[in-house]
Amino acid sequence: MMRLQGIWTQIKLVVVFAWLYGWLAVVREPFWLVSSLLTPLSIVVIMTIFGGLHYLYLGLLGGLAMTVSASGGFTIIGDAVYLRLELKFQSMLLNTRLNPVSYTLGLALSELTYALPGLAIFIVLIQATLREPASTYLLATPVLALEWVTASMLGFTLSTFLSDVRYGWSLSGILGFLLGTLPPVFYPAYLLPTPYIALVSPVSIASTVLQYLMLKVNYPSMLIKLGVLTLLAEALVFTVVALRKSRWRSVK
Amino acid sequence: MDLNVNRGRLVTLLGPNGAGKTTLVRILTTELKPSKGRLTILGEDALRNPERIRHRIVSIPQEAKPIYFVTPYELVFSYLVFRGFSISDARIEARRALEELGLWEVRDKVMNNLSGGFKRRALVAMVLASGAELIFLDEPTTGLDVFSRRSVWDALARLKGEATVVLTTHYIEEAEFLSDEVVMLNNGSVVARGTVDELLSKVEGEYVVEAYGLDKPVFEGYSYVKLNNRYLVYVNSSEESSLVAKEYAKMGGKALVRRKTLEDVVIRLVGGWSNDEASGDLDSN
Repeated sequence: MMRLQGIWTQIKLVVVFAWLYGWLAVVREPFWLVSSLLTPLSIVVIMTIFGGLHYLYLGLLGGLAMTVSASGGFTIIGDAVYLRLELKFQSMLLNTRLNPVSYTLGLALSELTYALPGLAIFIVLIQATLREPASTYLLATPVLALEWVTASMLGFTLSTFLSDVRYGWSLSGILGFLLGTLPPVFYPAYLLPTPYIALVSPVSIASTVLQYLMLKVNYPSMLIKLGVLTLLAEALVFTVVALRKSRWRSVK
Repeated sequence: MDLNVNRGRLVTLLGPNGAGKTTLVRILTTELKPSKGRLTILGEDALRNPERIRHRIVSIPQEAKPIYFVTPYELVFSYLVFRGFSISDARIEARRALEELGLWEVRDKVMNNLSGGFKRRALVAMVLASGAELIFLDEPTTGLDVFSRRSVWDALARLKGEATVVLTTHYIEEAEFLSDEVVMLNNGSVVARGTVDELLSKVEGEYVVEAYGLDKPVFEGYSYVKLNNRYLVYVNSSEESSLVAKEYAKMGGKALVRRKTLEDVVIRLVGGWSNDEASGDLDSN
């Protein structure tokens, strides 16, 4: 009972944090809404121009997967470093009921709030072109949620090791490229020597599962099962890492 | 460093830049883990079980800033919810704290449109509303005008006896006005501690003549220190201080007279003065 109450309290804190840092930012500075959409949409446009309709589908699914991870992991780094070093906000929250995981989820939910219009555009475009049944989205949503948690926890943990706000923005960009563009996110994994390379990044795992579900790409079912299991394991591991190894308290 | 602070006291940490005030506060708030030593806060081993005390203490770090796109009300309200207040209690306490610090009129203005003084006061309102047993304020009034500072002082004075407050400041009058006890730090060590009166008694005289403009003045029979190109002469009475100031002015220098403050104690204890045996006076040389 106590444990349930504790979880409920943490959920409430996550929502209040997202209201404070996400919703209030969005309603007061709406230009932030489009920024998360620009990178994945640019890639989709270029892919469609040079690759045609088939690549539009791949691009849209990759764009959805990338927007989900960007709305957590990659952009969270910059904001987490900013709040910790520039505003000292993390230090002030140390003496509250927030813990590293609820703080990270609150921050990630804030980022997701900025990204909602981008996600909505991708979902509308996917639905307009692929006409997927609701059941497909029911299967895809937990995979995207796991990707979001994994990227967020990884991003927050990394952010706590940075000593300058500027490094945060740089690392966001580097991670976005290494995990969200280089692996098979916007292109099918079967173009690689082995499709199992898709397992290297949570973003490419999510994108590969989406391709399997929505484009019926002929991936081995073992790859999809392994992908989901890997994502689940990564979400758990990175959450534990954020809780235990992130620098919630300072070391110097 | 060996330091005990009794409950319900307002203790001020004073010392020059780099003395270790902020480092000490960061350790005491459990933000910074020390490499060794013991730390007991509110009866708990704060190094072994920091989680047990974190919800009982609050702090405003030095140079902390509020999120720029939120209002003072939103900031205080959300902080109280993070502290564990119910939504309705957070609303009530946020209003009370904002009214107390003169922020209620600007409660709906985003921080970006408020002056530095309002922003700083919003942070102070956050911790005052929290009802914590132990409050750490690292230079909370830096950058505030004379009016804003006094509203913070009033709020802190109200807390006396209810909560323990550890304050760091560079404003001597703030320390004198608020402190039950003052701890002077230098190079990571406590160099003196006591009430304001106890510390003031460490410097002779009641008045100080600050004299400048002459190279080799003579203050026979008086204790004095040299600080850069300025001499601080310690005298016992107002009449004496006027006499010294007039004599100095006659010689072509300039002098002003003031009462002795904690600043003189800081200068004396951490300024690096040594006893000049030849004259019996204190001199920086």
